[in-house]
Amino acid sequence: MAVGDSAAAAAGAEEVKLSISGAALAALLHRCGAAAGDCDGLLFGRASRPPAPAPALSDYDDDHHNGPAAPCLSISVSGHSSLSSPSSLSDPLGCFRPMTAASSTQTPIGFFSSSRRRHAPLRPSMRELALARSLSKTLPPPAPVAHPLLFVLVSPSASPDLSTHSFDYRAFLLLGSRLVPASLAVVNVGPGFRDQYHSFVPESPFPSLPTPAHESAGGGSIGEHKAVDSMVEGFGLGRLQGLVGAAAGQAAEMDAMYAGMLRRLETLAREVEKSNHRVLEQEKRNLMLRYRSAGLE
Amino acid sequence: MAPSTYSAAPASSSAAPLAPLVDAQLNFLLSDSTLPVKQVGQIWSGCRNRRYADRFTLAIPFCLDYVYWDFMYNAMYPKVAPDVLFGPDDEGFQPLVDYDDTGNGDKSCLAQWDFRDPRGLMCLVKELRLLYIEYQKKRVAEVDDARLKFELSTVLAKEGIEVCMVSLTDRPDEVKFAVPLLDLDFTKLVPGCPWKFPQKIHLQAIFPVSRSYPSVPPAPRLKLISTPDLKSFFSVDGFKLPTWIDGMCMAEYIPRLEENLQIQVVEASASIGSRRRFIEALAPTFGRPLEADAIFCRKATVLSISGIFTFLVHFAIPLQFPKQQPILTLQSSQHCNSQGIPITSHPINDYPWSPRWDPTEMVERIYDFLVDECQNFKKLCSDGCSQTR
Repeated sequence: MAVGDSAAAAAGAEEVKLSISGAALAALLHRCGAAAGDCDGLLFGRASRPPAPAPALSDYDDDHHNGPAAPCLSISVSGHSSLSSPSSLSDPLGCFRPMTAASSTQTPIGFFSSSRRRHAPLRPSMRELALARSLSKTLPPPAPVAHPLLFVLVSPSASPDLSTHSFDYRAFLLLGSRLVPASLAVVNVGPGFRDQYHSFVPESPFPSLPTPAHESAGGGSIGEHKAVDSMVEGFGLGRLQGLVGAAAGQAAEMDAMYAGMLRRLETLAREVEKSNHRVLEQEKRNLMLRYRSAGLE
Repeated sequence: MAPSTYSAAPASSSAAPLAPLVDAQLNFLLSDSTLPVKQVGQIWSGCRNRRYADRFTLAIPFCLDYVYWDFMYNAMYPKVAPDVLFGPDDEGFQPLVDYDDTGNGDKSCLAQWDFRDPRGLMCLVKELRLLYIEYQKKRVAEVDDARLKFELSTVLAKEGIEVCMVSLTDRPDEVKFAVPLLDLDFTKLVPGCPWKFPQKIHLQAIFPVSRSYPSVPPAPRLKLISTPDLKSFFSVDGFKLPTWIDGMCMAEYIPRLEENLQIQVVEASASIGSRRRFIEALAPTFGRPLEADAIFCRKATVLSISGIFTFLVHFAIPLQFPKQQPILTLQSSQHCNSQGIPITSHPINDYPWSPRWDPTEMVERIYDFLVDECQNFKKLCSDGCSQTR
């Protein structure tokens, strides 16, 4: 993002609420703990600036709303992507190196780095700081809300017999050229987090179903037929049209479509399982090669 | 901080050994550098399975003190260049960000990192240390103190000077100068010199930062500091610093100081010669010394006999010899205390002495003195033994 020093200073002046969903944090920590050594990756999520505070739900907390609440920026992390290897995001000088496999549809809100450190509290290293600067310069301006770059530093550790793994983590915001520590709230399901649900705006786009062309007799191209067929496993476009066109009482047709989708899901799951096996084998081979190149044999 | 606990062998059975390529780089740095870097504390591992350690803390000399930096390699990913964690107070030291801003990054040894090159770590440490020196100079230059600004503008050009900010919680900030003195090679002053690292004498000057403008700024705290090996040749503690006159600046003070220091260093060099002649003069009277310090000539030990009583005489020869007389210690060869340690006398330095005597006379006078003194010592030994019985 193209945040100059003045803009960053302005962002520093206002309060920034950082949050991460429990599931996203668990996935992130698992990634850090499962990597053979250090690892880093990008963080995704959204930044928003709620226009007005949520209306009071009870009569008791009027005190909260006596003064006009300052508009506060909230950044929430919803996921990450990582190659599970150290310095996958940067060159040795800490310049951002875009991952080839990274999807370009989403703009990252920051990055994370996992490294077994010895000193508490956790501090960003030389390269992490350089990467934060470089990343903030490289990324397109965050839309719709400008926000400082987020950095989460994780330090996994384990008991000597590896029975207990613990994770120390700390969040930072890039303000000017410094990474300033910030508190990171973990959002879980429950009444305590109602505010989060109030402010929730769905983001995932609904997969677009091809609309059949009514005027043509064929009802769409062969490609469209195939796409829909693969989605519903044999439940043809014609039948789908019948389903949409008919008024009601199509329970049997519905069942058939549902069963078709389940079959499709099952084959997908099988494929995932098989490819996971292959990935694991490949990782083992990589590990052996890495050992050999490091002279560890 | 504790001195280096690092050795080639793993410190304990529980600690994983350093990964071979990392170990080679660390060893090269510790043994082959002109910079006395130390590895401190325990090494640790960044791998999940912890089979190999790949991280350690180095104490890097800076401004007559050390800065402690963590170096983090990846044993599993040897091609990845190491990352560095600086001290908690050095948040503003961002070498890679500066490289990015100036576009000088390709000159860094990180840009062409070769994980098989054992010199890698040494290059990195030296490169970062130079950048750190510049960083501290910049920090000090930002201080709003007219007198310090003047001092900086006059002495900063001196080669090898280092400055740093000292932030204290209970006192105002201070600026520390480390000024190398006397551009001379000490190894040439000492024949057969064993020093591995270049020896230096530095002037440490600590200026308090004052944001007000007092008419007479307070004098800086001055101290001479030498590299440790130099102590056996020249004692900076025995050197009397010239007085700091009010209104003086370092550019005036340093030449005066260097002049005095030069004279004393030359005297120290001459003193080695007179100590050597003294040790050589021991042989005709006491017999050939059992042991003698052949380089700095600070120590010699001879074996003596009085009747059937055999004892050693240790000569500790001070740096100010012949102005100060050698300190004698007698050690019995026949009597031990209850712990089985040979009985020794108190150090003796109150015997007749004149620095104007020639070495032969010095030795003869000591001999005459010891003829009587050894009887006292013999009595002490017999008493000590009978008591233990």
